[in-house]
Amino acid sequence: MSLVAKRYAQALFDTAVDKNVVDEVFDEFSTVIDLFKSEEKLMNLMLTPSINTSEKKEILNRVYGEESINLYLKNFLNILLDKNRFEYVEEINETFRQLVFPYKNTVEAVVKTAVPLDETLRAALEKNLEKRFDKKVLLKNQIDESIIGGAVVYVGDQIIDGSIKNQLNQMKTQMNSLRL
Amino acid sequence: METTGLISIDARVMLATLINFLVFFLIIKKFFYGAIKDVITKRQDSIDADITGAEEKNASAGKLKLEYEGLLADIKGKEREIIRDANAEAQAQRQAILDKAHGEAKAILDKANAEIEFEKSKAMNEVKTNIVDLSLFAAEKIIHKEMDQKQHEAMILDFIDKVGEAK
Repeated sequence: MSLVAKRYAQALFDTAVDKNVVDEVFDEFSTVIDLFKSEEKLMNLMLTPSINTSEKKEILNRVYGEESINLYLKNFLNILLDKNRFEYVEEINETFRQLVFPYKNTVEAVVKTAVPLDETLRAALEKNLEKRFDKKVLLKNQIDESIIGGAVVYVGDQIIDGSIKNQLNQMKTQMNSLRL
Repeated sequence: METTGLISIDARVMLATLINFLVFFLIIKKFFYGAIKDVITKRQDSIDADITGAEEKNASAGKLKLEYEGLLADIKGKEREIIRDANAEAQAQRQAILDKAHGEAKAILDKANAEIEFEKSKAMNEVKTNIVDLSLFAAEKIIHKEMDQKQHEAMILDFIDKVGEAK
């Protein structure tokens, strides 16, 4: 994480806490970032030096459209354009999330499964993870057929591996450690 | 004229002869006895000296002979000693060479045996690893093929329960 990203993220976080809009800013900032990630052209537009700042702000406003975006977030993105720091926006968002998670006693988690996890199971797993870690858990599902079956959960630097692949690997280790 | 025999004794002739002899004897004794005696004494001394010299030489030769015999005996003794030592040394060297050769042969054999054992175990382990890999690969494929949605969900549910239990 660069120092620039840390300073901007901290400023946004402090403002959001101060104005009690952490959840709102968090969700909307994530949506905006998802948009920039999926629309590469839009991001390139924002980084083109030949387009002036006011035009870029106008484009952004049109992108938000009718949906009202949090005023503080909007101002923050405009400041990034003014200060010519828009290239850091994704990094700032990541740093901001890392500040928000402990504040909200939340942790991000990923569960890998061989088949898509239906919402009931995902919610049940999220609930049990919250019980286990005593934190709110934001659980995302990723499909990974190489695990064969079962599930693997990644929470921070912890891994809970209940996959068939892992069981087979353990079996392999045990069998290989047998001396003939 | 008185006739006499072929052999007759005439006292005068006898007397004259005796006197003649005595005179001759006295002259000889007076003038030649000393010289003759000197010659004889000298000759006697010379012979004595020769005899003494010969005896001394004889004695000396005997002594030398004894000395040489002693030396010869010593030499023979030493010779035997040298041969005995050389034999003992040769025997020791032979034994040492044999021991060394045996030791080296044993080391080579031990090393070869250890290498054979190592290679055997390596090969066995490779075979074992291959069998394990193949078995697990097959197992993976079969499970992958056999697992249906229900089984997937059952496994995930089981996992969710375990996540909830353990803290």
